[in-house]
Amino acid sequence: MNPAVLEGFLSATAPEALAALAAGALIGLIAGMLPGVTISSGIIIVLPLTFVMGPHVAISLLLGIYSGGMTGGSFSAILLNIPGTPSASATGLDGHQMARKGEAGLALGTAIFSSFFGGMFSLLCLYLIAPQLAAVALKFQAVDLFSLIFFGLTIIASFAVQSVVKGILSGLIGLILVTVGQDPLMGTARYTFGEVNLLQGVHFLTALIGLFAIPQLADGIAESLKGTGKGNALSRFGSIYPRWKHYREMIIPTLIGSVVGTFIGILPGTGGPIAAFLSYDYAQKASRHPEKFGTGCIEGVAAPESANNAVCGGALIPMMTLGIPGDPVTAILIGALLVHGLAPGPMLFVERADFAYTIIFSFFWSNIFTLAIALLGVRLLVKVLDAPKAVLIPAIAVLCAIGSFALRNSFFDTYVMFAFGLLGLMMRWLGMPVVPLILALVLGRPLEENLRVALTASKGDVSTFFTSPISLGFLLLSAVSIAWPFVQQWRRRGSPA
Amino acid sequence: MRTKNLTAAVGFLAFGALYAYLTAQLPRRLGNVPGPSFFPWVLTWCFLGLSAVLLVQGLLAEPWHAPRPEAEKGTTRRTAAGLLFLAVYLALLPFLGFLLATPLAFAALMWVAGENRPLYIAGWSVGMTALLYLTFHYLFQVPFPAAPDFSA
Repeated sequence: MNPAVLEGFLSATAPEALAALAAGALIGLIAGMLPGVTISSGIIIVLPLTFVMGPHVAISLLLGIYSGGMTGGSFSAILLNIPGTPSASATGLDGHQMARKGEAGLALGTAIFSSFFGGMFSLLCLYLIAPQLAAVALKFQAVDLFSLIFFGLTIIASFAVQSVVKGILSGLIGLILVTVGQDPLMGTARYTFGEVNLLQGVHFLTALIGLFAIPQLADGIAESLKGTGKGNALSRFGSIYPRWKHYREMIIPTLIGSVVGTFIGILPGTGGPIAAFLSYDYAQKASRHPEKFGTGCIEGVAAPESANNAVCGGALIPMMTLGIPGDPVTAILIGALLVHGLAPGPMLFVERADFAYTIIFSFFWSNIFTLAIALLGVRLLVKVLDAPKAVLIPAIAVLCAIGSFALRNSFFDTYVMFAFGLLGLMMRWLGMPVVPLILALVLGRPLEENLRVALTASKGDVSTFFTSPISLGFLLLSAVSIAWPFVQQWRRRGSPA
Repeated sequence: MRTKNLTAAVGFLAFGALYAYLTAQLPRRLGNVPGPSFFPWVLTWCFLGLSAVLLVQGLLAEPWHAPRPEAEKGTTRRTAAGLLFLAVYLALLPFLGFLLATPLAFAALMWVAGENRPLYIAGWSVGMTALLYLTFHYLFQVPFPAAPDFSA
């Protein structure tokens, strides 16, 4: 056996890592089920804790939240018909109907077991595909890396269908903000205005805390005043353990969801909601009783739930092997790993192969812990749905302050965090998506670095990007990635209602 | 949306112009090596170009104003107050210290979120501050200033 695999397994199975995983899964389940609190926000809130942890403990905690959050989202979707996360939107279609028929327990049990299966399926794919893909990526030159990162940035198109111009402008704002600080090749100070704190640039996580948490805070205040975002969780919902006949009904839709979810997760810019709805659609088409979908059937819960958890493992593949985040959560994970001096990408499997396998095995344990905690604690956990917003809101605000301060022990970062929060609110008011800005903050620096290195090597000849087959391939993929959402939109408009 | 697009476009054009001015102060190309201003110039032209497109889109769009419910105005005021309290908290934190600034901010934000029971607010504010301080200061070694420090 590869010694790195064994080291990774031992590291992920260390008691402190398992404790972090359990805590992460619990926090994730709670964050996921609370309407309005996204998985990204849940991760952002606990992020300051990870700075003082070892990297294996930190990643365990964060993966626990990721996996737990995906499962937790289904709880409020089933019980209240309010998806805790966007990925759980499809679960509510049949899950809530089952709850109304008095089968809430069975719906929750189905969601928990199919989520577990989806997560484990994607883990298997992650284990088999990631090392091979990383080995291929090692052969990339600066010119190829530039085109790869550019391809990663074209994910922006998926988030900018409402307004392409605003989506790209959002990405450009992110790239402009990345240029603040020392230039990556020569160390020249840019746009620092003599402020020493800006020499290192804007810390990605400081920006993320502001962009996610401050708008969340504003939403929380609005919701608490309106009295929404809080419901009466059902206290009696019967047994959550499905019977044998239920398991038989779950097999096909769960398999469909797992395959679709893993594939969609690998594709940058797609994510849980698309995977859940696609697998719901495929499961309905594959079912012997498609007419039952939407009326409260197990298959309608199993397919989307297995899909959204399978997305987690799928999204970790490009993150670990190429350093390209597939969604906001993996973007935050990259930032968290960078704090610990670990850069996700092909070199991770060379320089820190043990840690790469730690991530893989931590994801394995996160699925196990999510299953165990969800099964044992679901009756208690759903009571969180009645938690008072008036306490949650100030707690989030204080945690934001602590989180941004703790990164570099600097009050300057707390001001930067707040400024990014206001930027996030302004962008929302203008109808601009914030995800392109986040992607640009993650990918901006390596984009500039590889562009300049490639142009220096080719003595300023831009044709170098088209003469390298790998680079050309990524540029063609970029073109497809940009055009694809618009083609889909055009096809939808063209098809009869 | 028309007004928003026009506001955004004008703001972005002004920001783009400022960014271009600042970029012009940076060292240029050094021989065959693209200098520190190379990438910012690429961004500048893209940003200004797209801002101009947004301006044209805004000018061509039909004016439309959605009626804003009265209840929403009250919520907006409370939300703005919440953000203001947070800004004041962040500004005073280095001077007042965590143990003094946090319960005050916590109480203010609880009130903003609609909680009016004084004892409930006081209990949660003090309790949560103590919990967060113990957790982060002692368990996770985050060196927050605990007490007032007016030399900061």
